[in-house]
Amino acid sequence: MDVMTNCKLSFGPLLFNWSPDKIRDFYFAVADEAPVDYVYLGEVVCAKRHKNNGHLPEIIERLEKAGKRVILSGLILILDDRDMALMEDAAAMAPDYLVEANDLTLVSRLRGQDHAIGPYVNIYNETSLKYYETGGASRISLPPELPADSLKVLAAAATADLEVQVFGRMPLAISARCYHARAHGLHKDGCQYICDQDPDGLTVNTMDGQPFLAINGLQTLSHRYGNLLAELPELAAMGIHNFRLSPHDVDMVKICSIFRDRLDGKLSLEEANKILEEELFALDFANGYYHNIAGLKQVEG
Amino acid sequence: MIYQATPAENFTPLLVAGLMIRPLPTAPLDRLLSYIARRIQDNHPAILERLRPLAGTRFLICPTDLPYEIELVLGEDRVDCHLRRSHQPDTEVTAANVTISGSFLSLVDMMDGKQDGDGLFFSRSLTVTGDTEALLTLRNAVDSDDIDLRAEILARFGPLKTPAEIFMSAGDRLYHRLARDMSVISRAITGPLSDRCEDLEQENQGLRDRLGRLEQTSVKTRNRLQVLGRKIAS
Amino acid sequence: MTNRTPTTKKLELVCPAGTPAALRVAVDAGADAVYMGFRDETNARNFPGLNFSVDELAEALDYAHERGVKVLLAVNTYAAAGKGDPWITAVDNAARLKVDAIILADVGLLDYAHRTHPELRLHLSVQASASNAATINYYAREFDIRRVVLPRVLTVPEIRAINQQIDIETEVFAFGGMCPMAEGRCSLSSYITGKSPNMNGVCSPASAVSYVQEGRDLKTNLAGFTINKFGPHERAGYPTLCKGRFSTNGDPGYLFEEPTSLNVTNILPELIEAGISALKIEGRQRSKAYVREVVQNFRKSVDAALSGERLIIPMDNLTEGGHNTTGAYNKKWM
Repeated sequence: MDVMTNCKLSFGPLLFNWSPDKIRDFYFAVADEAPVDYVYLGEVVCAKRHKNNGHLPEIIERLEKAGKRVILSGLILILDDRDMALMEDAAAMAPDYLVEANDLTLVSRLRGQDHAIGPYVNIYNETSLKYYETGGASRISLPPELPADSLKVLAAAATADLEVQVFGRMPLAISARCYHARAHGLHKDGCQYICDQDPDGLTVNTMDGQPFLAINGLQTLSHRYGNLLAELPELAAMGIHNFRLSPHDVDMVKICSIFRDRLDGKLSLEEANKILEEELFALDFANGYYHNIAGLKQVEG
Repeated sequence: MIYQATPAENFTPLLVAGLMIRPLPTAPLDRLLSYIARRIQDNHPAILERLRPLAGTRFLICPTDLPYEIELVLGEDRVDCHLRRSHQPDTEVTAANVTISGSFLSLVDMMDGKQDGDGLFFSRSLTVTGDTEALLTLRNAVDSDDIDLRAEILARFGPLKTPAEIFMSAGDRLYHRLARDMSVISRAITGPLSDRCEDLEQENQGLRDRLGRLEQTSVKTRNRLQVLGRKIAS
Repeated sequence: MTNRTPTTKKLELVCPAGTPAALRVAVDAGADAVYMGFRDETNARNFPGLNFSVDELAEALDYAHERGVKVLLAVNTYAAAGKGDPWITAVDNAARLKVDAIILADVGLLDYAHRTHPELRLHLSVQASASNAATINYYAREFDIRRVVLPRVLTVPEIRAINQQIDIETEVFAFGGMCPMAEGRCSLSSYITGKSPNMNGVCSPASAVSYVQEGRDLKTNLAGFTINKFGPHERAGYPTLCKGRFSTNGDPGYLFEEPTSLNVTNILPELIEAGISALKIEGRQRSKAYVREVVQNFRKSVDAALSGERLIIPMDNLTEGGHNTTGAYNKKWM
């Protein structure tokens, strides 16, 4: 059975509005049980949700004690003073932690220091990759819409560690407008934190009733869950060794174990997929972006 | 060349509509369409270049208020344009890739660059079925250069001698015909779409205004052309 | 052909040119500047039948410059990995033909243009989504950009605050199609159709669109999904994904944005007061008729605003859904 050596798994930043206690319980379980190497923490979608991160110091401590490397993620869209303040908080942590910039504001603050760049920064080609590497980016998580051809070129050119999301709903858009508030007839300023009702996002259906997208406050996600289990060997062969699992309200410890076992050759692709599908029987998967077709499509085998 | 400028003013879409609404011979109009297609092919190479990806595409343009359809077929380096009666049951018709339907005047104004096609679509004045990309390509290509339909049509009447005569007689006949055809046009427009009465009332008024103006200028033109005809004859 | 003297202008009217004919119309109708793209994937209106060849751009430059109008070239998509030649060629051609500015979004290209063609004036595209003063200053510092096209996510007070903290010009959208999402950061289109604005220069491309007439209803279908249905009298919009009707819990509605177009004629005095340098009219994919009407109207409205008057012009015949909005410029939109 094929073994993909030197491959690391990470949990991307939590995208949803979970309560502080739920967040703490989740990350404590991750620290204690999940075979994950890196954990990204911090609010990336909406600065108003930062209030949920009250337990962050304990979470960081627990994760680090368990030997996980913590990376702090910054906001995707920085518009007002509240966003700016949160961005500054993240930048201030840079000497002690690897900080991941998800927008150019934080990139500009971190330039010249060792930092990470998230999938919300547009890196589509080797020249922009070089530009960010030259500025100090040592870890770069690539945009989800990149096809295999592009990933291959970037991997060949990279000096930084490249990461690709291999599990979870794919981030598709960010807006100044809050779609959760809008869906509930509320204004953004009086949103009542209504997005807390949907721990994995709110399903958006077409007029024919097909589930289509998921909204998550200011963010729009795919309805289907990205799943690149089948593509892991190809990615590893390109030289991409970091794989991101985006946290959902499912048994992430188990999902992480499936990916770990697959990388270690303890599970065949068929076995891994079978366990994953049994665990998440109600979900639909997609890998279209990787195969340079519509992102929602699933290419088998 | 003095006759060119003034008749151009007269050659309104309504005149063509008048020609088209006649129940009978399609042959002269069909020849005119072929001619226009050839003129565009010869005089606007940039448009042809933009249309190249569409080689083999068949468009059907359906003026909803007239009993005809125009079939437009794009080849590698040519444009073929033909007129046919709507819904002829006995003829073999190759299915079109794209069908565009709208009032004759909307279609002409769009072709001429006087009306925005997207705006017409938003207001539901245009209906589109089939290959949307092909339609968009055609629209963008046609819009990329300045086509003056009236000038192209007038150029049809070639060397100096025949045109004056053709035009004079055509203008004369058309004018008389139009008065009668107006009622047909109104019926055609208001009949099947009675629920859009208000809009159409306006459109109708517009047509009547145009006819009024046409009536005035046509008399002048006829006089001028008669003078011109006598000069040429002498 | 009157030469418009730039010295008397306090606000540049930047107008779309999807084709050479539209460019001539825009120039003649009163544009201070026109913008266009090459006929390939290097620009974000890579629609079939549209855009300019290199020769056509050269002719366009002559036509516009003879009449005192500037020409801005949009190379505002992201270069494809390992296939960057068309983008590099576009930048080189822009420099060789001496366009008045080039509009870029990709940092790799900004870096290249800045290093290779220091004399070429750079504008930061809306596709770069530079949404605050710190980011804009960063781009100015790194690449010497001279103008930023602001993303359509900012309120007028936010624009004013930005202008107070930066030294370069700002250009804002004034009329036409409106993204409810942060531009250049949206993959909705490619999720459904496989083609995206960033990578392919298209959003919800025509090749994926079909219209189905169901009785007197018009159904809009994008890549096999019904994204809207219009009743017989209902005004329609573009078949863009984010302007479709969807449902979350109850009846289908416009979850992201209604079919509507931006129109700032009613807030022009406030925008001028906020310190903007240029107004951009969207619509390179629209017809000459659209360009003529919108540019003429904006010429009037801008001239009125500069002399202290407010001239509101609705132009509902040209807008999506027959509606217009001031979008994020008014905080209520959010």
